[in-house]
Amino acid sequence: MYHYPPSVLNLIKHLSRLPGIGEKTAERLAMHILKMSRRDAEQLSQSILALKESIQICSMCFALSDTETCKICSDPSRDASLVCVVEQPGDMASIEKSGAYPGLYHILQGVLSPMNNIGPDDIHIKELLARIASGKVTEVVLATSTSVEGESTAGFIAEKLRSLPVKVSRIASGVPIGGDLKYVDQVTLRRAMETRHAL
Amino acid sequence: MALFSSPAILIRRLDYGDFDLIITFLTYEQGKMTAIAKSAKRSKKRFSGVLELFSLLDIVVSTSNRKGLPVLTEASFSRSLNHIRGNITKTAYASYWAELVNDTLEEGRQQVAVFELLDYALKTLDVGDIPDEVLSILFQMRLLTLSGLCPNLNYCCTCHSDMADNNQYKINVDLAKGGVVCEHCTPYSHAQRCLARGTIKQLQWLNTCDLNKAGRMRFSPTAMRESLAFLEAFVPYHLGREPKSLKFLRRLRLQAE
Ligand SMILES: [Zn+2]
Ligand SMILES: [Zn+2]
Repeated sequence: MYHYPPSVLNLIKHLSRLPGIGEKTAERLAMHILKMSRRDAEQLSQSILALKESIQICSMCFALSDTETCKICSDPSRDASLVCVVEQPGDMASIEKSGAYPGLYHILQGVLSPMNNIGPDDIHIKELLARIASGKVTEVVLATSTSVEGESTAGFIAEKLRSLPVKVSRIASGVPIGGDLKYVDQVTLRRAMETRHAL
Repeated sequence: MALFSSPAILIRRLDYGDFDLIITFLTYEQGKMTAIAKSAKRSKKRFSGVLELFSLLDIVVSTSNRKGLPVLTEASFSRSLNHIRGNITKTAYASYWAELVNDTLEEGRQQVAVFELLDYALKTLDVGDIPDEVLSILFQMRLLTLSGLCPNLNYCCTCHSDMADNNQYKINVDLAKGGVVCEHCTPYSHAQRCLARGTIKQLQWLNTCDLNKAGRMRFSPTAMRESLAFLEAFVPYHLGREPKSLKFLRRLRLQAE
């Protein structure tokens, strides 16, 4: 490895910091980039920079977005009376892929976690309650993970929503206990969304 | 390669990379043990979602002489907790107890009494026939005792006079000295931490009673508040830091007020 010149070693070092990439894979990727045309390499590096420069958080749902309100929130064909609450942007992506959900989202950007001292004020629960209180929403689907902490977060939010005139439902079983939505297959997720049950 | 199997309570779960989990168990056979569960997050078949906080599991772990963590090879539910999941207050108490166990125990030393205490506390918290707060008082008193840190409630920490002969209504507590102090050694003042005589009796009873009878204990709201405040100050003082779950619990209580 150390026979490479510093510029190559540097790239390998940075690539190997990415999740799931070991030194061997990083080396292979670096060799591949070396063989790329100058144009392709430029596009790759520019897309990384553009991501860091243009990405913002949707002011309504806290999804990643290139604009102030994201594509889903500003899409008139989406059902704005329905809001699905998820932990992370990746969970929203999984539900979108399943194609079973016509409404909007609310991304908490985390989950209540006593062992990490992540409390109700540290994730976007207040914003959710304000959004629901403003009136357009008639149903909230809680799609936090099925882990102990995900379930407790759902329970906490359901309790807070009790006094508001909305129907609250929980994504149905089929998502395995301890399940991270990211790894649930599309069929299971679609079924879980369609057979959600009232809380 | 050696295989080791034991009943185990899952007390900590950390993501490791995209697919793996690093899990700390309180095992019956070997006390605290940390192992890696490979592909646990991705594969449903592998551990079929049993690797949940506070679950009582039957686990098989493979330990080898090579460096690196033991590897979890099998895990199945012995008991899952259906009411703790979904209830943030119960989850917070369970997290606090699990964190205390994780912080006070050494790896690899069998601690059957601690295992039985945590198992009892989680099981009872889930069923809910004893108030969560009373269980937490019981758990903290007994864990302190098992760790050799039981607060001294019997005699004055300074002059050793017997508290049974003391007829003050409120008795002062000195965290640094590890227990109660008589009024001659530290005159009572409101600024100081103190416990009512009746509360002290209740703490002592919870610490030694037959666990099947613990549910009979009735705390007045004042005694409950006093006991929790005392133990939740005593524990961090002797641990040298405040557990994160305890901070969370305090914030949750403030919100509920
Ligand atoms: Zn949005
Ligand atoms: Zn004294």
